[in-house]
Amino acid sequence: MGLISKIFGKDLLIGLNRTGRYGVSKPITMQYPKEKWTPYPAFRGTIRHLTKETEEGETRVRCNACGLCARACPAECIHIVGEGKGKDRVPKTFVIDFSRCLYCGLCVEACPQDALEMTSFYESAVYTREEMVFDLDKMLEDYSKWERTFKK
Amino acid sequence: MLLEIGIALLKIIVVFALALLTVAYLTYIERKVIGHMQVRMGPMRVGPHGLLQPIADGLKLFMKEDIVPYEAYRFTFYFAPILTLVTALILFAVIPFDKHFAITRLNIGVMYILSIASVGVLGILLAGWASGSKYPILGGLRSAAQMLSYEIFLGFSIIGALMISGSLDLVKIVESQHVWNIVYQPVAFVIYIIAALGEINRVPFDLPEAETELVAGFHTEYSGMKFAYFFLAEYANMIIVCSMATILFLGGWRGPVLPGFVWFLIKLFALIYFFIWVRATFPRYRYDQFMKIGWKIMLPIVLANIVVTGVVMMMVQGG
Amino acid sequence: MDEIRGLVVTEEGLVEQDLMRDTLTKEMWVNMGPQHPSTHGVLRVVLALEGERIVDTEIYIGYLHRGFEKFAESKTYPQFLPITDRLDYISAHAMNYGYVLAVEKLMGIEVPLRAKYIRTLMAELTRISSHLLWLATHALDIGAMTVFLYCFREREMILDLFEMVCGARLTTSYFRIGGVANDLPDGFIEKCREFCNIFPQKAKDYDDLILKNRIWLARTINVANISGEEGLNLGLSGPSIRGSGVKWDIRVSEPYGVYDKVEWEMAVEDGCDVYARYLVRLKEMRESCKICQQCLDFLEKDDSGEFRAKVPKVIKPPEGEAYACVEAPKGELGFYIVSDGSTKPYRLKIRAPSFANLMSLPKMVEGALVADVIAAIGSIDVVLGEVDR
Repeated sequence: MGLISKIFGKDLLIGLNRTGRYGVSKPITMQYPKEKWTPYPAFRGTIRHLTKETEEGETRVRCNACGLCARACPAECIHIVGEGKGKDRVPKTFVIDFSRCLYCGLCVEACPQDALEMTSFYESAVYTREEMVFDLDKMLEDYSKWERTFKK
Repeated sequence: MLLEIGIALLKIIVVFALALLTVAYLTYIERKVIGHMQVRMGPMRVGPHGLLQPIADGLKLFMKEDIVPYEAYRFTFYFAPILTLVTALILFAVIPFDKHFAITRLNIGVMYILSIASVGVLGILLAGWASGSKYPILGGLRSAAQMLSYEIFLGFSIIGALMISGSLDLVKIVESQHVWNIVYQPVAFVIYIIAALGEINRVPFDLPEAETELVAGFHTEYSGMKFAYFFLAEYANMIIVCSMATILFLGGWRGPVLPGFVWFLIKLFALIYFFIWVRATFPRYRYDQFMKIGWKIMLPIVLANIVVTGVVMMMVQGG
Repeated sequence: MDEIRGLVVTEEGLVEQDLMRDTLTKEMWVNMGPQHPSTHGVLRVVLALEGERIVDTEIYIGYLHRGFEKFAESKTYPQFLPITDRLDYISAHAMNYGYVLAVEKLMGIEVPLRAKYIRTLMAELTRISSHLLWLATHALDIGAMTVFLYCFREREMILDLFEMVCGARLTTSYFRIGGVANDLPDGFIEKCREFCNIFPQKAKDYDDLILKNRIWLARTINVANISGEEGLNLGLSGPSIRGSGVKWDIRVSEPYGVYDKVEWEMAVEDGCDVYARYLVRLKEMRESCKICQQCLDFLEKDDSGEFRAKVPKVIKPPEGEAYACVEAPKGELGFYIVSDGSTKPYRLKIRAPSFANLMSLPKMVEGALVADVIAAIGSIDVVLGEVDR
């Protein structure tokens, strides 16, 4: 840097120019509750159960309580009790404690029945720990109804 | 007699109400401007475009618990923020916003401002000392060294302008500027701005409260309203140094067409905008480097500036 | 306090004696951290100060200790993978990479080429994002706060890419033993290419603000010096040692992934100071960008779709031990695994780069000022999740 440009503060003016220019440009931030980020399809949000149509036409959960997800889980937050034998085996209780969940997706990967799915639901904050524990009925619901809306 | 007192009181109320409001909204302006420079929006929630944010901030600070640390010197701990704010506010008494609009007209206005401003330093020093904590004392020591030495350059840098105007009266100084003083005194103006940045603890010289080194410097232990006092004082000081620069170098309320105080405000806010802009852009100097700049670079330059001004004036006038 | 000799009037007349005889000065101990704005987490540095000058530094760590090494002994091999994300939580892919490499070495698994390219691509994107976060916080520590937001703007784009691939932005858990979790989604390559193309232009913003700024130079040049030899003795690695002129990069000396197949240059600077480390990281970001471009070239043409090798369902490595290291954004990351033939590691040791790098801090700040400690901590880029494990 030459002496002249140092005296006139060329290095400083470059910086001022940069911030000055951005000062009149459009911000790039998202105003969160008003505008919402739509996650990509692969997003690993709160886990839910999927259902299937049986040959008789009734809807039932895909899960057959094999317990592979519980075994794959690093956080040990899945608790399953199954009932029935063979093709009729269904989970009696299926509880995921989402306050312990890592959202790593290993359970979904481990499931041979494709019974679990990671949704794009991410506003999962609640007021008590008990509400974080999801049972089977809760995991069959549509999570999008809990999404928080912001009145404009 | 009664009328005069009434007018004086009215002036005081108007100036202080305006000053406090401006100071409060200065925080909003600063956050908004810096926000946009950082490609974000700044406060947006309270009121339309966050316009009520300063009021919300004030309410929050007002309702906070008043904490005094166990090791603090109680009286001084309370006294320091009051001293800082009061000295900052009484400086507004002599600022002429227009030809006839100043609370009072002192024939030694410049001296008044310099001397009161140096009392303000004491508040910060006391705050650092009275907190009975380590980061504040480091911050207090830094501010003592910094503000005392930068006051010298601040004082020297305006001498050139005073010599040209031939008065210490702020109104006369403005009136004498048929051509703005900045034309005759560009070097002094630059030095003044740098010294002012140092004097009011702003980036790149915000060492007493360098948040990444000293947590919050001298006001680490302060919370609630006591903190708010420091905060207001800081912004009030910013307005004061900017209006001083306007009066001394930029021709005060002088300007065509528009009324005087509008010109004054335009110049004032242009300077404030520049201060905010600087804050958004630059890193912070280290303590020793900062002192070195002051004593080894700025002091010789201002002294040379005074000498050159004097010689030139001699040649032009004395002939 | 040093002795100052001078003449003093006493009862015996003028006597030369030590003027500071009755002055009591002692050093002040200051706790910097664990709650401090710029110790990057819960690092506690105790400084002994004389005025503002540092006479002694002591580092206390362990505030974020979560017992990962012991934890690994009670988890199966795949189960420990998401835990490695939490080591250096801002470069999760690199942490995953080190772990899966060690397990693959133990089991002798050969990873398909496509998976190798994907891994390299991810590791380099992670490096950029980690360095961006480093630059952001480092600049903020030194006072330039706008750089912070500009860096985060670009980092956000990288995190978007991560989310697109594996569904998480920070704790990605994308790698698997034998490959990666899933193939790249549609549209990823175009989006990633777009990022790699615009990144060098965006990076100009940071240069404008600080690269030549006189305040930045004053704060970083000749600050926190550490010579290459001292650095090696203290176990410094990664960009921190390359800033001291030592050509040491795991990607060159022990190539893993496809680093021997792509063209890139090792960033080395001789300055030994904060500024040199800053330049090294700046250059590394641009080099990483180049590597990404080359990986994308390959992935675009390749249509094998083999993203994961055939791996047994239950991972049960043979008895033995293995050490694998990668060049994580912070330095050499090593995983040493001892297996007893069961599904869980018998012992797992993590050689965390931040831990070794942090220990060079007392050497760097000898006789410096308080403000230099901040610059030094920033320049070695510590992440406490990794230091304490």
